[in-house]
Amino acid sequence: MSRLAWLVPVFVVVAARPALADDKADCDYLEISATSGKAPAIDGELKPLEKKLKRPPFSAWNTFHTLSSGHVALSRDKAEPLRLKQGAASLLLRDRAGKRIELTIEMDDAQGKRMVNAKQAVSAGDWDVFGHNVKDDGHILALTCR
Amino acid sequence: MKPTSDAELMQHADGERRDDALDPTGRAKVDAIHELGELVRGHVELGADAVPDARFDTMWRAIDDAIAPPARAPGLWHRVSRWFDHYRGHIITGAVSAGAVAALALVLRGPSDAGSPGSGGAALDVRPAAFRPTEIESLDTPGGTGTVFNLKDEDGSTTVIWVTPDDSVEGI
Repeated sequence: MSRLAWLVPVFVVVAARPALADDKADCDYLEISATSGKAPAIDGELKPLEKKLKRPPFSAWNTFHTLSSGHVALSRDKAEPLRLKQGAASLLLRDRAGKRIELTIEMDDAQGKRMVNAKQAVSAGDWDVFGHNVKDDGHILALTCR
Repeated sequence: MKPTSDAELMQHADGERRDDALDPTGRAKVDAIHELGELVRGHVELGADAVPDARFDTMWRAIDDAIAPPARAPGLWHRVSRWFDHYRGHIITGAVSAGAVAALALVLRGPSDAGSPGSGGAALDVRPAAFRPTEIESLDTPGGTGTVFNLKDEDGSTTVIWVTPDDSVEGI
């Protein structure tokens, strides 16, 4: 039996792993400017969103450039700011159950006015997009978490 | 009368000579030789009779050994039972530890996984997690009017929250 004693800590680690993993999420974000130009243009970094940017409400513009991008590691109940070129935003991981991630997203415009305060439950790997009009242009924040 | 020699006595004992030619002493000797011969013969015959019985005993013993069911080795179930009996204390300790760890994991997971089987929450959602759309629990757009779009394609589902500022001249 003593030869099998090593199974006990292994079992403990394996059993506790999902609970520990549910306290974290890794998110990538893209800050995008949407404008109208003579020729359509989409930055290469926006390739994962290219199809979506051709559909409403983004089809109002044809030029999309990346303003900033980054990665943020979230821990439960700890808000993490996103470094945006225009305005500000923050992410908060409220809970996680496997691939279901519960987030609170706050987004302010360049004048500090709160644009979005949303509580969402998203699937890992899906894109979540927030945006608002800036005069004739658009300011977009796209994020995906795993 | 001349004493009979040993050679002559042997001839008498073997029946090669007539007995009437013997003196009383020689006759006693011949009788003693006959008696001794009977004893030796009887002993040898008894030994000869005893040999087949011993052989048969050996043969029967071998046959009995061959047809008797072999002494069975302990079966798998018996060995498993014996192992459990032997390590009962360890097994109980391990089971209690495993239960405690499982309970701890469930407690740490919290009540958020309401859709999981056995959680006692709402009806089970059997849709694959990959295709579960984003659920908006609350949405506040103090700076304008919020509109929610759900863009679905082969890359997955994308939820778009678009805010049209109140001071915007022209919205979407």
